[in-house]
Amino acid sequence: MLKGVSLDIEDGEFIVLVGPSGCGKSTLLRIIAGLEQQSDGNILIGGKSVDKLHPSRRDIAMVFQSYALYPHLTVKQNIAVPLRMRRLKFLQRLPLIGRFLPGASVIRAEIDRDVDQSMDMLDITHLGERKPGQLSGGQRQRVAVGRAMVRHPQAFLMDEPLSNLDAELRIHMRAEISELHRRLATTFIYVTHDQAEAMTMADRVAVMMDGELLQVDTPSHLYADPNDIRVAEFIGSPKINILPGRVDGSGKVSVGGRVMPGLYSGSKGKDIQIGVRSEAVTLEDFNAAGLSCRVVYQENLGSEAFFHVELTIGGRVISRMDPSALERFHVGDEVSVKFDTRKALLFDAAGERCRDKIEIAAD
Amino acid sequence: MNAHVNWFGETMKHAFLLLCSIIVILPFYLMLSYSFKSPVEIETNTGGFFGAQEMMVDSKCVKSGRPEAECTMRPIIYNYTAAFSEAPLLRYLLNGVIVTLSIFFIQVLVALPCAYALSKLRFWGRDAVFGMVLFCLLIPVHAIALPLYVMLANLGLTNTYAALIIPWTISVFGIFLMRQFFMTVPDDLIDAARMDGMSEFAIVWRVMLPTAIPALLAFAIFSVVAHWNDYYWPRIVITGDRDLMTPPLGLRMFKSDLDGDEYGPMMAAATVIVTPLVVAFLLAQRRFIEGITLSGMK
Amino acid sequence: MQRSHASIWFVAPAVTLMIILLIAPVMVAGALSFTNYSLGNPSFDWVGLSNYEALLKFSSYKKMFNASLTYVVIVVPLSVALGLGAAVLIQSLRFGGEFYKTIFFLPVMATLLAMAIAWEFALHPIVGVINDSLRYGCDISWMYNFLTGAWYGVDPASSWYGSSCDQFFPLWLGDRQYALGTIAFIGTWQIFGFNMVLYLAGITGIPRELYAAAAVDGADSAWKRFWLVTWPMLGPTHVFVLTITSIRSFQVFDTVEALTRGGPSKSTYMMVYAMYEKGVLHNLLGLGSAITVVFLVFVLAITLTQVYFVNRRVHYS
Repeated sequence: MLKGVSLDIEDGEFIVLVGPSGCGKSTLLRIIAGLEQQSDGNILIGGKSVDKLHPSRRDIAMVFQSYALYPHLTVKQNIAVPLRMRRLKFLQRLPLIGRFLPGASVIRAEIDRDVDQSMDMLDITHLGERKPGQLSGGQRQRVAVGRAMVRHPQAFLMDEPLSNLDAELRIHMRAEISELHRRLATTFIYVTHDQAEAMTMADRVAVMMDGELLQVDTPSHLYADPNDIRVAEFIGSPKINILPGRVDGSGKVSVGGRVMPGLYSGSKGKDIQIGVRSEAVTLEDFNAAGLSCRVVYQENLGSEAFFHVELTIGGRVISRMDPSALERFHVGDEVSVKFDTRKALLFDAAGERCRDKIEIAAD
Repeated sequence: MNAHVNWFGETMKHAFLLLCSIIVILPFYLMLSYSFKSPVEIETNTGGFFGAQEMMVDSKCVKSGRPEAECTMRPIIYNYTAAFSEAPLLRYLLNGVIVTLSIFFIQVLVALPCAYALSKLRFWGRDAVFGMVLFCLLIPVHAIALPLYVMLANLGLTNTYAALIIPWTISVFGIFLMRQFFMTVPDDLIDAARMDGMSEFAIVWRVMLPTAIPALLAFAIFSVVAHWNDYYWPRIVITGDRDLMTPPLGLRMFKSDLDGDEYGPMMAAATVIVTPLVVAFLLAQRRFIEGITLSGMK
Repeated sequence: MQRSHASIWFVAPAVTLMIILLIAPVMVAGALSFTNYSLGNPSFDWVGLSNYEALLKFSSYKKMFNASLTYVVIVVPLSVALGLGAAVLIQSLRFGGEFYKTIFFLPVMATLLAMAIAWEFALHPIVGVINDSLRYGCDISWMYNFLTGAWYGVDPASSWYGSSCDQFFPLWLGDRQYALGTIAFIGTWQIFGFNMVLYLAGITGIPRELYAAAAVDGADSAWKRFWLVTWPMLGPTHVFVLTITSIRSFQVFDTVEALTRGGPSKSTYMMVYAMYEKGVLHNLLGLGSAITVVFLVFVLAITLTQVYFVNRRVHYS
């Protein structure tokens, strides 16, 4: 169920629809493609309304999660299908006789050329005579992309194309798809549930949840300037730390009774939620001024370390620090956390972003 | 793919399918309808579906000397009572039940242990036996009819229940089906039973049989339908003894007995024979379709 | 897996029965085909290939091969096409699919002998419903015009329907020209529901996303979707259905024995009926066995063709 979704996509941009499973992103994509009908509203491609048009007439191409390659056709034939369906008339498509009809051979030669070009660009020419059943996941994915590319459509629609690949291949394919986008300079509309994919590949990201479009923005803006606490929690790994806080009568923000130095908000007298990313949280030796906590878990990733701490006032916070900190702080230690309040994000009780944060140099 | 319904298309499809349905149902309709009608109505094709059910006089009954009042009855009564009395229809039905159930029962007795051994036990010659099963699957049933007939005739076993039942006791199809099914049963279950002290024999009947009920059900339907409807083999092997005839054979005898104007009773007999399976089918369609489709899965 | 002695006992009854009831009879049939054995005679002679020669020489056997092959050639394509068509149509309906499925499957279930007799009566030249209806149409002007082709200029008296109205409608089962076609019609009626069910199972196995891909690729009509996705993906089902139907068609017996007994003038003299007639009725078991062997060869040929196709062409994954 989609609720009042309105989206403008620029020509040539790589836009990613991202959100948890069931949020409606695939549905939205299918509506754009014409595979499903919307109950209200319209779709315009290149300024023209396409609502009444069959998917094959909207000048879009689609890559499916399961690739949907025709199992009985070779790779070459698979890629040729969209061209054959459009350029050859029914009689010309017939198995044997079609070849001999006037004009057919010219068109067929053209089709072969276009198919070869497509295969060449994706480096799958050597797979031309194989059937999908004989290909690996990554190869099938490329064939699916090839089939989509061969018509030079106005837009590419991709429905979680990388979900069925293993982690390493996925990262490799991300780069390939981005590269493809650069070369083709066509609009890409990409759907995924993986926020890392969205952040690394997109020009702009559209975050969807429960059928609603929460925010459409560049990755960096989404990260640093989310509109909604749900967006803040979805984007970024590890998840943003959220702490309940209160704004007193003078605008000072306090967490667990302790005033946050340098942080002021216009929402006087209200409860708020404070979001701080793990890189804005640092651990210090126990001191009276900071928030006290206990280290409960450590993650050593080699290039950085994550500390999970349990606050005395309740709640858990993750802190990202240099690996050298692993020698200073150990599991079970009583330490203090410090937040970089300049990077703090304030949200009201309902989850909406309060942009009335006022910063003053730390006392 | 579309939220819009193509009403014209739908209507055309339904129109075509309805036309086909009428053709398909025609013989069923006729069979049922004629079983209700009087001879006059049958010959002139009048009376709607149920026939006017006007009292008719049974001429044969009058000829045999009974008073006319006794010989007057509604056509439907006449047809069905004639069907049951002119031919021993009840006897035929009974034979059908005896034969199909015996066949199925023995088939299970023979096939189940064999399938278990082929799927879960290791023994010398296992592959050879399975090869034999596959080979026998290729043999069409009509090809062995004549030789079996010769063998049975020489043993003096024609016109017996044994002749009707014995050739079908081996169902290679059943063995194959059960084996495939048993291969999906986890070995652990069987090992646990062995640890509990069960003999292999007990395992077959107490462990494998209960798990195989769905497959057995499908097989049962396949077997019962095939043998209830079988005409070829009984025709060959029952040559004189009316009391042993299965329903299709009985109906055929009834037909050749009649002097051509007893369509009513004949259709009544046909209805009685066809009804059990049709009713069972209507009640349990999915199972039926599964069972009969299985016969193709070779 | 356990080594067990019990296995021998489990397998023994099945193996014994397989040998006695399946394998031995085939051998016996083969052997008998070279003799002139008759039941009741204590002795018989080995007559070499003379039974087979008879099959090739006498016209009644030519008619037998003719009838059997013609029957198969009529029934198989017709029932396969009807089965596929019904399956595709039913699959695409918004409602009512179950109803049609049930109706079309009824003939498969019902005792063929009983239904054949019902058809025989419907096809009765004088009293039967079919000729009755056809004759009825002779008097209704719009139907007469339609069925004779008068509406596009054909001279009604010379068309089949027109001349039949003037004289008489065919005797169907009693007519040498129509009997085989009629038997074939009944055979198709009985079997197409089975094919429909097999195709329905095949169609539900086709991944839905293929249709979505086809739509995007340009298949904007049901016809195009059918040729691009449905038909090729049904490859294994096609092989299957063709094989089953072909074998079943060779095995036709009930309708022939009950309705025509091979006539008129052997136009419906099918192989299995011939087996029965020669072997049982005429007690010529040598000849009957020879026909059995030929029948076996045909069926094996069909089955092995199926195995070949399944293994080679139709293997997708």
